[in-house]
Amino acid sequence: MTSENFQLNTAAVDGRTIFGREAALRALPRWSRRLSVATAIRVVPAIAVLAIVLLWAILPSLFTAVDPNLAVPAQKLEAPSAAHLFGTDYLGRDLLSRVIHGTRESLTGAVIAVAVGLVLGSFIGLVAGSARGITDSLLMRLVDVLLSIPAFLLAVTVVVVLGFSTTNAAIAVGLSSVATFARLIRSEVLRVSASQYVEAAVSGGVGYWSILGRHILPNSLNSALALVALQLGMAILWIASLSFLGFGAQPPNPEWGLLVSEGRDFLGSGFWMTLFPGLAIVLVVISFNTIGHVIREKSAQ
Amino acid sequence: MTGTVAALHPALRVTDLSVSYLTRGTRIDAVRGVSFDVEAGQTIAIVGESGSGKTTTGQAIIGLLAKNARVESGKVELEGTDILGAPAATLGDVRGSRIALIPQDPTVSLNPLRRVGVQIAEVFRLHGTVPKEQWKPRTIELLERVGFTDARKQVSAYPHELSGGQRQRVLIAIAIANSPSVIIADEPTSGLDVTVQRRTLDLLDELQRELGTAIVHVTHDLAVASDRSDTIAVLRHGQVVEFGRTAAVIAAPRSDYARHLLSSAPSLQVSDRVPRSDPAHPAEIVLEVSGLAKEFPGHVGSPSFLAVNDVSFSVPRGSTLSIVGESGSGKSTTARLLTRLIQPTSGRITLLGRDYTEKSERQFRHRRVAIQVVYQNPFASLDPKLTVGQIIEEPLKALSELKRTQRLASVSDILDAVALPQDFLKRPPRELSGGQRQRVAIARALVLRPDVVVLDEPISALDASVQGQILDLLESLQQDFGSSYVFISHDLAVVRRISDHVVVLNKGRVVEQGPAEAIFTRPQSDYTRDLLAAVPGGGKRAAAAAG
Repeated sequence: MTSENFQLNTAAVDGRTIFGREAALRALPRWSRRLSVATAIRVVPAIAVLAIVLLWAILPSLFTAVDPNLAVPAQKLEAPSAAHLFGTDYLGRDLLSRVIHGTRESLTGAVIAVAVGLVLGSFIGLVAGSARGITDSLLMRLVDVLLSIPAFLLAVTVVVVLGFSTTNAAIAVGLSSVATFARLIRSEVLRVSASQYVEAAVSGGVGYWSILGRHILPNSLNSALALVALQLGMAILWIASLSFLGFGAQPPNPEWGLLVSEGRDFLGSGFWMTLFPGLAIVLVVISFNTIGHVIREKSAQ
Repeated sequence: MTGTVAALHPALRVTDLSVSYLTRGTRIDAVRGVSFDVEAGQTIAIVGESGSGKTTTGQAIIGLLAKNARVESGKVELEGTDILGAPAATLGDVRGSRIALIPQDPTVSLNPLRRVGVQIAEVFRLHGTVPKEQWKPRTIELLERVGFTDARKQVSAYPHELSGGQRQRVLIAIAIANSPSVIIADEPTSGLDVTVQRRTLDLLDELQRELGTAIVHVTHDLAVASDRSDTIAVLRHGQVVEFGRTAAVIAAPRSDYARHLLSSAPSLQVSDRVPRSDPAHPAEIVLEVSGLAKEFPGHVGSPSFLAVNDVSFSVPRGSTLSIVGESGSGKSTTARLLTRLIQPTSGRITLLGRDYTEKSERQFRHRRVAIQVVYQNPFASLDPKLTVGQIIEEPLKALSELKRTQRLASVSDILDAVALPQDFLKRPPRELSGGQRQRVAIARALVLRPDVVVLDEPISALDASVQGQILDLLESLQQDFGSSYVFISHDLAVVRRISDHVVVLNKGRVVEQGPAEAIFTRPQSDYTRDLLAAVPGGGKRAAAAAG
């Protein structure tokens, strides 16, 4: 059931799937379900990456004593070395420190984005799935409209309206994923509503709202958990993309997307300026995706 | 195979077969040292409950084990040649020509996108046994042989155009296409109605006599085994605990387990029920149904469907009324109407003297105290997110005025009543077995002390040995609590054991109703007689051999 929903979902957002999410969803379960060792090989590095990144976000000064905004003109564009592990940028700022200090911005943005998507999407999905009839039709047509607009374009539009900042970029990304969550939660609500334990609760005299809160919502959110992990990865990427285009964080903020953007002009003379922030983004996104897949597989079993 | 070779070797000899599964790094021994012989024209029944290794045995014989399974030891000799360790290519040649499989589930075992004729002819193509121009006539011939009356037309039907019984016949046709020496039949009729089951098994018997095939019949149903086999092997935890001639095993089982299985299989028991109703002092009628009908609107282009049509009956306090019928008879719809999960199109339902047909759910909700339900599938009817305690407490919370401590006391009392330990309260349903879950479902239904309990096939999803226990429990709870039961079932043997009054439904209509003994001993309608005759059990084959 869960896999069906996900396939519906990925099909619906086709064209904006990043890293071939659909292909990954189809290919992964077959070999990993049999071997729990293989699952562990995937999960442990992912959790390790996320744990480190989380610590970076909470206590950046524990990992680097250098001020991320301290420019040392004498040390412009230095290649990675023992003194500057990730090298320095065009103003002579330590890149490792900038990447570490940028983590909080990126992760907070991703969490805000997913929270916006999950809360609004679940609400719409729950209302549509439980009310049925006209309400359902209207809400779902609205979701269809949202899905028909390329999500990134939607995010750009929203952020232009709200104003440029990381928080606004995060809200924009969150709003553009509302439709995805709404669809998933609605189909889960429909599935759970048809289940026998809900029928049993009706026969037991349990009221409508209690059934909704006690049986339908908790059981529907199960598969949303996997989507949350996938969306966290996606949100990081999109917020970075918005920053890269200048719609998100503003200089001298060390947000990852902005770091990549700043390094763009120095690809020839200082490839490390794009490589390391880019690597951070890629690793975190892959880790979130991996964990999302594993949650989905586990809940399918 | 020449006659001399066949005479030297049994059609199938399984020696010391052991199979294990590797799941998450742990090894589970599914089959441990199973041995048996089957002679040509004979049937062996491999009987066991779920997890006994009976299906794995069947799969190992025909070389279709799951990927994580490993054959630890043993030999499977097909007319003298070992096929267990045979290379895939050899096995491919043997399979479908000398040994064939009738799979369990006819609904999923045929390719839905290809005509059945093509699927049968595939066996000819794979083994090159029949020249191409002969495929179609041979396919039609086969379909006729398995009982299709209009084979010429049905050969080009798609699986969805056929009924469950017809699909199973197609699968049998595929199995016998190359006249194999051995057929593995894995629960060939478990999803079918009793009358269809009987016709299918009769057909298999007939084909066996004609072709002299040896059959390995894997089944959980001891009654079917007693009718359809010459020898029985009872499996438990992967080992043969009882082996012998069918008549002997049924009459005098040697192992405790086989005795236990036999005593708990409801179909092989005689009713000892004392009628609850006393004609001199008629009990109060707790539930009365008159002229009940439910029409489901048809889809575009198809007419509406009358699932329940003019059904009337009444249930006296403390008695059991059974509604029996095959799939599609409307018995489950009736159950849903009684509990008001759906609204009737017409007719009246009176609960404790009050008509609630017209009432809205809001008005009716507090009346649900009087009528509760137990569902067929205890794996689906318990919310996986709640604990057993929360599940049982839920109706009390919703419908009673009790305080929390009183509720908890009630829950703990009812847990004792259904014979579950108190420490189950904190456990989630997934940690419980099927029988234990059904006890939880029964506890939930009875915790409000309802006047009527609707039991919708409450034991048909359970293993045979557990079925007996749950029936016993239901009977003793009825005596203690005085609830009336409306028992929905397709299994006449079970119905005979627990009912006072029986309603026979067919195509939404009441064919016949009356006191249970009268229905079983003097059925008035042909349909009831047909149903009764189809009930397996009693060792028909042994009786035929003796007579």
